Amino acid sequence: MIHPDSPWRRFDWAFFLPILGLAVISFIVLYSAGDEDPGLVAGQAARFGVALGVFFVAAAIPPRLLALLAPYAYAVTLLLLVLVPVVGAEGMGAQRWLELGPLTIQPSELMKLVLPLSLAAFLSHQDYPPSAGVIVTTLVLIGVPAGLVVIQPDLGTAVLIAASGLVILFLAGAPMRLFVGLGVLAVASLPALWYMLHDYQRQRLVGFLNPSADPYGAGYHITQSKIAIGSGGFTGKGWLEGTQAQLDFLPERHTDFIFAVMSEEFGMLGALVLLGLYLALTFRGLNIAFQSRDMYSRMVAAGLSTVFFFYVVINIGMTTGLLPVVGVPLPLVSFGGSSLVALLAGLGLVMGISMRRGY
Amino acid sequence: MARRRRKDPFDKPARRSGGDLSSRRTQFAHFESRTRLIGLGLACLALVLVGRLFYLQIEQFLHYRTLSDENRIAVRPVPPPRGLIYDRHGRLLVENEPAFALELYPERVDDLDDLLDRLVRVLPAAKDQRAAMERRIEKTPPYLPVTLIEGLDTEQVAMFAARQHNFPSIRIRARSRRHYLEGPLTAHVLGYLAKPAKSDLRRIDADLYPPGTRIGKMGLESQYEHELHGVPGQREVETDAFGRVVREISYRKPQPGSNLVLTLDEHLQKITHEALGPYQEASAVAINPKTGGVLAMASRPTFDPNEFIGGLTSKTWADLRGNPDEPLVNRAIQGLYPPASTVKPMLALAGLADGAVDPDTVLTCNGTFQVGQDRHTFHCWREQGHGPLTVDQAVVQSCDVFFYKLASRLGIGPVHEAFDEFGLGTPTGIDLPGERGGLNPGPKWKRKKRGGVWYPGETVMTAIGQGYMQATPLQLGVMAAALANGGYRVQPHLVRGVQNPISGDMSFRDYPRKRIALAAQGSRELALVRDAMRRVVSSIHGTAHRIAGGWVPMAGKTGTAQVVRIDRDRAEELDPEEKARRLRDHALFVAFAPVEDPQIAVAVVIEHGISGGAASEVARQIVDSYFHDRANNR
Repeated sequence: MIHPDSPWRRFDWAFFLPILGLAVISFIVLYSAGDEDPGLVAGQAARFGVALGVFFVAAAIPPRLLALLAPYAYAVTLLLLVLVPVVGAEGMGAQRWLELGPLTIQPSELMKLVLPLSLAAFLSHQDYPPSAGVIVTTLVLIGVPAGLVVIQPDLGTAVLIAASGLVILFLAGAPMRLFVGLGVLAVASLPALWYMLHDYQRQRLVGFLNPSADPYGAGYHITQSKIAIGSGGFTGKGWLEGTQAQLDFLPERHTDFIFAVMSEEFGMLGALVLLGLYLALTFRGLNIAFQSRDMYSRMVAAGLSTVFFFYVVINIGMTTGLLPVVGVPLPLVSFGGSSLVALLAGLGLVMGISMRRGY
Repeated sequence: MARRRRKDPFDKPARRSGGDLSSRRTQFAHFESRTRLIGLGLACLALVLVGRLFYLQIEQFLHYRTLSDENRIAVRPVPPPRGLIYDRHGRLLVENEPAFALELYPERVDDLDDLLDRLVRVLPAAKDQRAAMERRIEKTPPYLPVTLIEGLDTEQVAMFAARQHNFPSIRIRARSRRHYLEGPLTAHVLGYLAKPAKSDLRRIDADLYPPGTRIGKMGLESQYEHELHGVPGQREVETDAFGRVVREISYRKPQPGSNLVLTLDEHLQKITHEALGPYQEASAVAINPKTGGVLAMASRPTFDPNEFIGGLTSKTWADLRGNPDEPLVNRAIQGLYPPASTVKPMLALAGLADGAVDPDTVLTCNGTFQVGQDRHTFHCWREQGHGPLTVDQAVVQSCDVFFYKLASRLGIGPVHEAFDEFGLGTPTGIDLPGERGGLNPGPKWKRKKRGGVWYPGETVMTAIGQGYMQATPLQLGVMAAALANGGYRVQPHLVRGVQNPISGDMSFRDYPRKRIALAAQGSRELALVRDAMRRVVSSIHGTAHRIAGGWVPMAGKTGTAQVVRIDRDRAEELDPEEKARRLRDHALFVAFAPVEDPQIAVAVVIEHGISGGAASEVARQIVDSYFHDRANNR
């Protein structure tokens, strides 16, 4: 029996149903992408169940409490990031993981969630509009973890961490010219950045800019993914009928490139449904921000929703050949547990805010 | 407590409860406008994605659908079975047998060194070829398969197949390969197969020769490439990204190559080789004088074409190429020798036809003959001379002086013409590649090629088949056939007919033959010369008397060709004994049998065989075996 005053009485179905919808799509497409292996789908469903548990826990925690804990969480996560190059495990040419007993964690993933929370907590207590000192402090708070992740090296995650921080700063009312300036600075530093990139990163970029230069090498993923999506047409080839996916032409098809499988088999129609669910979820999140009564909740709800949609744009942009290949899974749909847990934890926080809006 | 608060920038209750409500309201308003801005930005991003999807899935749909089909559908050629070759009695000379090769898919290899290490452990035979394998892998683009090892036998393949699961990047490829049942015995006639050379690639249709197909080199394999090859079939298959076949979509059967039925007699071919066995460099041809069909054609030294098939090692190849005895040369059509006294029957015919001599004319041989302004002396092979001779006696005893005198009476014109009518100086047109035409010299030729006038002494030399004269054993065989068949110049050939491999229908080939005016059928002159040739063998005075007797009466003519010199650069490499051997004369013999209604004409050349005697014995063995087989229906 739910107590009459319980926030659960105000459970936000409009926010929750798109999540379930995406999960269902994920299972359907995974069955096809995973060589029709029911075990794979069952495993992912189990992971989804666990992540949903995290979602409800996150929703149950009062946002105020989290705001209080945020600075400590930030400090701990930063410490873990510093530890990565010292004691971290190496994998695929980069050091990203920490082994803590039986647990393998990726502090950079944690930072993606912790940074917007702590920045929202920090900025919601400042004068409005934020002073230059506050802005500089914020930029340092963003720059340090982002820099640590860059040297791992994991450029994609670093960019996402920075973006999640900057969105909060933007919502907090930092002057517009700051963002214009940052944009100009980013474009101007591109050539310098090129020389700092690692070989595999450069290969990915070249493969992105000109996939036909080496269709069997660096550009192979992009070329095959574009063929899969394009050949799907408007209605798609049908479930389990995608030749690109079923015949192994599509690499990493149940993780980063699952959108290509979806688009090949369900066509533009399926892709639009998927995109519609993402938009519904994101705009519901922004709507929740509007209805919240305190700045912290507003910034967290709007910031997390925005960053969530960033993931969508980056993944789809990458599979359709608009963006270079960075290892960003399609939120809630790609196979894998840790990203699912991280995402649903963030969405759970937004849900928690929604349930307490108007107070 | 207060100190802690100041240190904690997140907790500033004073300011918030300070109730600066208007400031808070502007902050909310600003937040809302910024959030709307973000919402707008996100909507724009979504629109970009939709636009991209529209571009890929609607506008470029056909393009990507085509690419996707090309991705998954591969057209694989199915090599056609090559035509078989049979001898005149339907005995198989070449068959196709399965051969196995290992193909590597480099895309799927992580650690090449490790892979090759493991492969060598499974297949010890791969050890020697490791460097070659690495070179081939380097040269091939990573998305194409590389042939690692070819010519594996069944046992080796079984050994590998048992461990196939350890080598997902290597595939066993079965192909058919040629097996020449008689090996070295038919090497020059049949030739062999090899990878097409660059020059071949220009003249062949690439559709008919998918990668890995072999093409005929030398011999009939090359001459009848078009007939033997067939048309490849096609297998349309759905493949996965690694080229593994998932299922077959369509299949078009290959058109097998046509079979060849030869005029060659497999057993006679063997006998011919055996008869030539004692000699290092020699060749012989036996032809049917009526049709020109080649019954046997042997050239020694020979080689085993089966060694060429399983990827000839470069050492074997270098040995063959570098061998001074030139085993790859088919001496029967490519060896040029002075025909020597074997031309005397033709000269006798020319003299009788011209009226320079008649059957009763007696010319005396005293061992020497002088000609020209410098009175150069030419010797008869018999130093003491033959005394008075008629033309038929001169042929029987192969008197040189008689023919010096006859040629002097005739002059080079009729001599050259007579040789020309019998086919000397032009290729016979046999269905083998690389035939040489020899040389039938004359004043015209000398003016053009040597830039000088023709001397009477050169007429005398030409008349006994020496000097500039050169002919192939096959040309001599055709000459013998013309004398045997009553004056027809036949076109020698090896292929009697081409067989449709499916229906078994034969289409026989017609070969032209040309009347030789000099040796008109039934003419008294020809009969006289043929009888003289019979006596070459049967008369006690005949130069080939040693082969008298035997199964069937035989007619022939001996020849002894002088070896003028040895290549100077080669002479230095030779030990004295070998040098002496190489200075010995070539032995020649042309023959036909039986004398009445001849069935077989033979030409034998034994390099450094000293005199015609050795060659005549070879001819006797060939002829005896031929009639022995016929008597026994073989």
